Amino acid sequence: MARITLPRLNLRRMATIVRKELLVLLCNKVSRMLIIVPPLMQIVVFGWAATMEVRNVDVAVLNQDSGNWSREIVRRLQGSHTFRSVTFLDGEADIRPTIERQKALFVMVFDDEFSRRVDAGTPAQMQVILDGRRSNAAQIASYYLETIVRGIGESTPRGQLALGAATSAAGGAPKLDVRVRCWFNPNLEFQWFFLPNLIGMLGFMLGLVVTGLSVAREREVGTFDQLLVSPATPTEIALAKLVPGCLVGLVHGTIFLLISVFGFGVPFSGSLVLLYVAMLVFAMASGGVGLMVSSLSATQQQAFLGAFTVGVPCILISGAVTPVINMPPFLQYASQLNPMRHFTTIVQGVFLKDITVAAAAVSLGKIACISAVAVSVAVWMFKRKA
Amino acid sequence: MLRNIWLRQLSALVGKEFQQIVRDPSSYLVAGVLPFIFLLLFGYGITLDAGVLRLGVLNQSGGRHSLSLAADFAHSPWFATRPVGNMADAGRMMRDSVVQGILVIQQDFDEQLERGSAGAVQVLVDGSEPNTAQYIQNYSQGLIMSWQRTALPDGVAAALPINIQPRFWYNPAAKSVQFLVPGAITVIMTLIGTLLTSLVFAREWERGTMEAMFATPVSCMQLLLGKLIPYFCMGMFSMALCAVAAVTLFAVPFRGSLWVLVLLSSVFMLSALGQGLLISVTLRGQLVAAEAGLFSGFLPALLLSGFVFDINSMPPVLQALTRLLPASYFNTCLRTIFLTGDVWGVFGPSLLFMGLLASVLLGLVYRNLVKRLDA
Repeated sequence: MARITLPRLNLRRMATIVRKELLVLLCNKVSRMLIIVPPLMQIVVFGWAATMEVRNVDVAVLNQDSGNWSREIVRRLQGSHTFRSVTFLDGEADIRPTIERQKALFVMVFDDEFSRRVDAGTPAQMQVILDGRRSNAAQIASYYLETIVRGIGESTPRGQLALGAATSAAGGAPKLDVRVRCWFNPNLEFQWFFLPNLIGMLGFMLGLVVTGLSVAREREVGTFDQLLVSPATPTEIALAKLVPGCLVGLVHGTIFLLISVFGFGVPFSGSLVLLYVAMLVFAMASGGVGLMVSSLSATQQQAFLGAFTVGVPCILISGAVTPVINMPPFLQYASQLNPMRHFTTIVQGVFLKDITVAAAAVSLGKIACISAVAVSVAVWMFKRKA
Repeated sequence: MLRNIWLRQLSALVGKEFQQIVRDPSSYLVAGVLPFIFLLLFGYGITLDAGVLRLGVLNQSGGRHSLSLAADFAHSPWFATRPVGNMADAGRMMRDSVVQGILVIQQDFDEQLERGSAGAVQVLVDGSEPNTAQYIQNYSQGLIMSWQRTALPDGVAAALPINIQPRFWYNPAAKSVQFLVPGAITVIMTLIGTLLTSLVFAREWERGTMEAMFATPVSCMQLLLGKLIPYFCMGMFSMALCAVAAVTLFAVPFRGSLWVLVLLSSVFMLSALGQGLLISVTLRGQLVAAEAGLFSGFLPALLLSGFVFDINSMPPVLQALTRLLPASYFNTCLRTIFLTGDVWGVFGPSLLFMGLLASVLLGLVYRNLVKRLDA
């Protein structure tokens, strides 16, 4: 029976290698710049850029109606801060070029009967033509429009009638009192969703790239053999190589956390300890994956492209950009193997929802498993190559 | 004769570069496999459509009307509902993301309705995923409204007098995949153009083969073209692959003309290559160059090109930044050529900018490509 023996690690030797790795990483001016500046730039730029809210909408109107109601709708649209400009079109021929050249997200068309019908209480139609190339933004903008139109509808004679009927208790149409409340993020700030996820995204990429390239660089430059003739065992070398990536990941995680909370006002409702435990385990996992990629590649270029090929898909199917639940089933299963997915669950839970420890433990356990497998495979591959 | 030699030297360089590409497995990865994986992931993985929303129903009333309302939600194709026992359960399920929203029908709902006053319904939404939250909000409100109209006596009277008839041009079902796939092609092309080429000169510098190159009679122009031509071909090959996949796999319509697509992609490819080569020539280290390529090319293309996040909604400073980004022009062009057709009002300015940028970048590369070791 094969006995499983844990390799005996000499911590002092490992510490020496860690120190050497950190010196390589930090004492080169360019490499220092590259692990410090871009991630910070990212969080600031993308913290502002990434938004699903729709603002500054340009609208065009073809108004063939001479009455008040269409003008009232346009007036309220102009008053809303969602809409930036309203252009008036002269004829139907103008609609196509306006939409085609993206001069407006949507065009509203009122026919010449519109106000008369509203006044008469017969159903009045307004046509809205939306740009399907930006259908998501258009959809959201049209919800805003709907709200405005509903408000106006209530002030029309017939709307008043309907409201009056509803409020007069005697035999009118009963009305519903519908209240919508958003938990965890009452104003649906997209930043509150995206910034915590950015911690995971950039941490993952950094861990992958910093760890992934270090071995390939040594191999390419030829210092790998020097490392192997040192008294440290291959296992020690491999594990020590994981440390700088983890450290960089943790430091950046902390900075991002501070920027998100104090710079962008994202609430932090959960447990800080939980977040750091998760960050540490997650950093190990990303480093392990990076080391695996590194062991497979002969050159830095291959290592970088490999890290990229693994990293970007992991980020995309992690739920950090769009929810996992909307993906096709096979991707949902595949994403179970993705440490980034579980980390995203924890980060979102910890920041906004004060996730229960039981629920977090499940995700944390999964990351730990992935991390253990990744690191062991990486060490095994490393030893085989060494 | 001299011209002839020049061309022969160039073709030798191009040949050498092609050999290098063909014999390095990682270039297959980048030119063939990666675009495909990315397109699949972007096409299937990222969707801004709602999908089926998981909704808990907490029916505290239990009367005739409340059951009919709950049944309407259960039968709706938008929602997968599950009953919830009490408020504490509801809170726990929301926190652990078991459900994305809760419909709460208040205890006196039926009683109030029978009496002819307003019955209270609450929709609690998990706001941690704002895009989904918005869908739940709008769909549930719409569903409640239509229930009110059909199920309640005189409900029709409560209908409002103005009807909006929305029509999405170019994308009638308003499916996000239709505009995300052309956007994904932008990201992939940036990846190939910028990331891959950011390594080419840097690699030669790092390995010392640049010095060998300087010892040959080839001129800087030949050196530049020798790098440009193979990677340009590779990019266009991937572009063709992506375009075919977009139309066949994702059923994205192609309404423009093919030669315009070729023109647009060539000009964009040149600007992306220019960016990559400039990085490569100035930074001279593979690691640094690759990171610079990643941060200046790939990530902006992913996040700032309008691919997922709408440019108009960004703050003014960032909007100005996207105007400098070739990927944002290319993204608009691709969406237009796939979904709308040949709209020169969109293509003209974009081509102008991308062409200008390409010539400036390639000019800078040429200026920085000095045959000197100490430069």
